Amino acid sequence: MSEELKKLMELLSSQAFSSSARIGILLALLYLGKMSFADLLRSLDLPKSSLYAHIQVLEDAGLISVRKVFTVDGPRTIIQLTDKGKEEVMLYISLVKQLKFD
Amino acid sequence: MDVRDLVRDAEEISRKIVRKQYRLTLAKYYLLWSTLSVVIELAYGILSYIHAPNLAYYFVIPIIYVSYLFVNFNLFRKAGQVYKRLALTFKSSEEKESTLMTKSKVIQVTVAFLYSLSFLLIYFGITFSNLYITGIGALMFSVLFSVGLVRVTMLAGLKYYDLMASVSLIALTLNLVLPKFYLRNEFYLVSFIFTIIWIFASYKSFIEVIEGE
Repeated sequence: MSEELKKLMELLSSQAFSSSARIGILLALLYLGKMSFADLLRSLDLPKSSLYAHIQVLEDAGLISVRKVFTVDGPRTIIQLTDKGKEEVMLYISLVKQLKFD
Repeated sequence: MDVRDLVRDAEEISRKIVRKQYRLTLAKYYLLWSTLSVVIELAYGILSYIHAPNLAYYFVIPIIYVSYLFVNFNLFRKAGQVYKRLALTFKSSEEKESTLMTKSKVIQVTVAFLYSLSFLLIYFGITFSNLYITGIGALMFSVLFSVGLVRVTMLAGLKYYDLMASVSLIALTLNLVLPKFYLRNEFYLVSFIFTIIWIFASYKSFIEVIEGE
């Protein structure tokens, strides 16, 4: 087994990276910068409780920050990657790239 | 789940999120621009009703156009940032990353300058009834706008109503350089068609996000 694959397997064994939905959310946050919980819910075919559980796991791992803000449309929950989150997502991308998975 | 499947699924989910976000942004954008001709006519109506001096027209109308262009530029700038982040995922070294960031800033400033220039050319061309200057401005605006819209629609997924919106916008812009523009009835007709098409594109975009078509 190559060193890169070992590192990737190690990363994917963590709770945050063990689900494709959570990795997808992390990648989307990297591309888009930040998103509201409502927008994420609209974009994914997931029940609200499942999305909430995914967000909770990512927040507990310190990969995302969740904060309430007041907008003209009412209060919104804004989610964005933390510095640690950005580092880990970039590490994931570089490992996947090296292994030419896509 | 196999690692390959996990990676593929994750990528598909992230692309789906980006696509939906940009379709929603486009829906709002189409709706906003569909109000342009109504707002302009309303401004003319109000200025005429209150017997505003000619100077007021030269002041109020450009402010309306600049406000719309600002929203336009902001949307395209954000789309550019998403592209930049997508591109960064394929770059590994810090040097490449910083080069990409610098390039992106230079492009942003250049595009902002060209947008302002095209707007000024159209404005002065129409004000002084100079078709040549209006034509250059309209052409510049069409090219800049089309490139920006293509970028956004590539993120959102190109649909037939995006093409309809683009074609109607180009028709509206080209209408500026036709002598018939100076017969206002012709311009009203094209503006009306433009408004209807952009409301339709907005409606279809909202439906796409809500129903997940």
